[in-house]
Amino acid sequence: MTENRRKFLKKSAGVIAGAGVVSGFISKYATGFADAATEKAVTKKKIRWGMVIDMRKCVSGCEKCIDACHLTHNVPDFDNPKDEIKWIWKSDYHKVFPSKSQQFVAAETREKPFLTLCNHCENPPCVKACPTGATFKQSDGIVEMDFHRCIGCRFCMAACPYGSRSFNWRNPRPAIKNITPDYPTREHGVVEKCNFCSERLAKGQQPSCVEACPEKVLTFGNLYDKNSEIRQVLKDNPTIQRKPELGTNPSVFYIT
Amino acid sequence: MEFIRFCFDGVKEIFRGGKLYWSWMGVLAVVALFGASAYLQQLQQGLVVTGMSDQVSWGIYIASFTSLVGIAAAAIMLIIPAYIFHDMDIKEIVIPAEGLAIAACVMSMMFVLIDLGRPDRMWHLLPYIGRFNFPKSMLAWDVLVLNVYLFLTMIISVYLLFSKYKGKEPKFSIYFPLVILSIFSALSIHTVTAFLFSSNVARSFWHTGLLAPRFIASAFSAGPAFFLLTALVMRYTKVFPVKEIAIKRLTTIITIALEINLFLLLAEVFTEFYHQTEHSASAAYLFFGLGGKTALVPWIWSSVFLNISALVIFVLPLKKNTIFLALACLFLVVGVWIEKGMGLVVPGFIPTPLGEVYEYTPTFIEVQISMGVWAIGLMLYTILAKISIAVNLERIRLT
Repeated sequence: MTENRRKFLKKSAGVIAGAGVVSGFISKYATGFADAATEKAVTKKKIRWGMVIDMRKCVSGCEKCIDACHLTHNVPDFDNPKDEIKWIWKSDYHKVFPSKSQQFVAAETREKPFLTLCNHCENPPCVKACPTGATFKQSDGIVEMDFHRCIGCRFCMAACPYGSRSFNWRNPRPAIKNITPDYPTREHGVVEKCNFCSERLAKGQQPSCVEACPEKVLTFGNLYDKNSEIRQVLKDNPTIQRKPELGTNPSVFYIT
Repeated sequence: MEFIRFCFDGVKEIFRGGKLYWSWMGVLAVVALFGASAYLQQLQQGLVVTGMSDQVSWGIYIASFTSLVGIAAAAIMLIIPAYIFHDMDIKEIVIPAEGLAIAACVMSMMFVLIDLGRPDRMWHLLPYIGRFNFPKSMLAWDVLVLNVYLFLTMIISVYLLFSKYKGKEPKFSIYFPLVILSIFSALSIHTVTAFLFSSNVARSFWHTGLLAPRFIASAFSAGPAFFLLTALVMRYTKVFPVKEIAIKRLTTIITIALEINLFLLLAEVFTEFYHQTEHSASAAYLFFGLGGKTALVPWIWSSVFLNISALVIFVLPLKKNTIFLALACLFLVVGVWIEKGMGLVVPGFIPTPLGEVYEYTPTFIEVQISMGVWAIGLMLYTILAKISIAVNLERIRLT
């Protein structure tokens, strides 16, 4: 409930804040107080949202999850790598797992485009780096962005070991094909990334990528709940995480 | 009241000067205006006008910031001999050196400011009003120590100048504690700036404990070299009679720091290349290129060449020749600027954590804005040095 309230405050403040200094001020205090209150309440709940990506089921060429996510979150489509904004995307196996043994990997794994997104690390380096607290870890494990507090220093982008963060080098609004009014659009000069659909979770929905996948590649759930589906999947299958040696403890797991 | 007259006389001194002074300031003002117009363009269109990308997300701005923090910190290489060891020859030139520290500090802050995507939200960095992520974020630390250092350096120089202006000896009990504090904060600005990079586990090229010592060593050679260069100009233009002995002292300081810096660099290069791991990819890209992409190779080898040439001049009797000495200083300043900028900040991003090689070249607008910042910094340094020299030579004093 408090989590909902917090989201509501954040979102309403976000809507009010055109970018005005005064509204920014209000949003900051609103989230500031709510944060402290929810912190206590939710530690008892013990939620840590996580995801398992079963790459055996993922179909090359299908981009339904990406389209759904980018539509939901008003992610612009620039069509050139310099300005590109990515929340969830496909990359080569050896790029997603650069520090894994890559000798003699099965061809179907090696050649398959791997899904990748923000790992929502348990120990996120980006959150430590941010000088204004614009990116922060929620008590449910989600690494969130406050687009209105980001000063665009891009320290988080240097800190992220997974290349999961995108910067708005130019005004993104003209490049959004269909604007979804439920979610704010961004301005130039701020960083953005996947938020595990925390706005949908607040309404009891699954993340839009999970919902959009026809092959059931993505399993989403609470990693701290022993009886959850995601824990069952993790128990039944050998999984890997990206760059585990860095001690970031990603909440996204892969079955290859 | 005396202080107001001191300020008034100082300002008056800025507007006094010969043809050379005015043409120098005029050129700088034009460059600064060009920079300002380019910055306006960047403000309107966003950072898309730069060569930076999601892959290489810091460029020439942060590179310049990093090396300028070094120049700012290096003033203590004159402050220590002057105020701790009471070296009278260095004491004469210490206040212009503090002027350089102030100017470099201001420039480095300007470089951070122009790098921000949203400079209009700077106030989020203010404690209480914003949410300053202190002590977790290294950038928060950097903002803090840079401001403390700038503040301390300004207080010390104003106090010393004001004493001289009144014709009184500065009080040891007042300036000494401040000097000690400023020595520590000078070390901390460059250490924290190094931590800004070395704290990133994602970038193995930066993630080395040697980074902070290297930063300090390179700063303590390039900083005094920059100052020595300006001291030679002051002597040549007969603005201020810098003594031979002071120049000799500076040369010794520079040479030792340069040798230490090159040793540390060598140790780093050995560790990277002896048994190349995937963590050596950035170093390989920097020195030899990766996947046929070689944009930084000419930069780093020029830096190596400049650093070694400077060392050769500094260890040989060649340094007694003013032209060679000035050349060596110039080599060193440029060499270290490359080593810490294009040779450190940029390759940290290449290859990306995903192993992709995206290259970075600054755009014309970036260069224009950077030159504008340098012009403003040099104007500030000129003004500060001019006032301090006028006070020192007792051209302005309380009458």
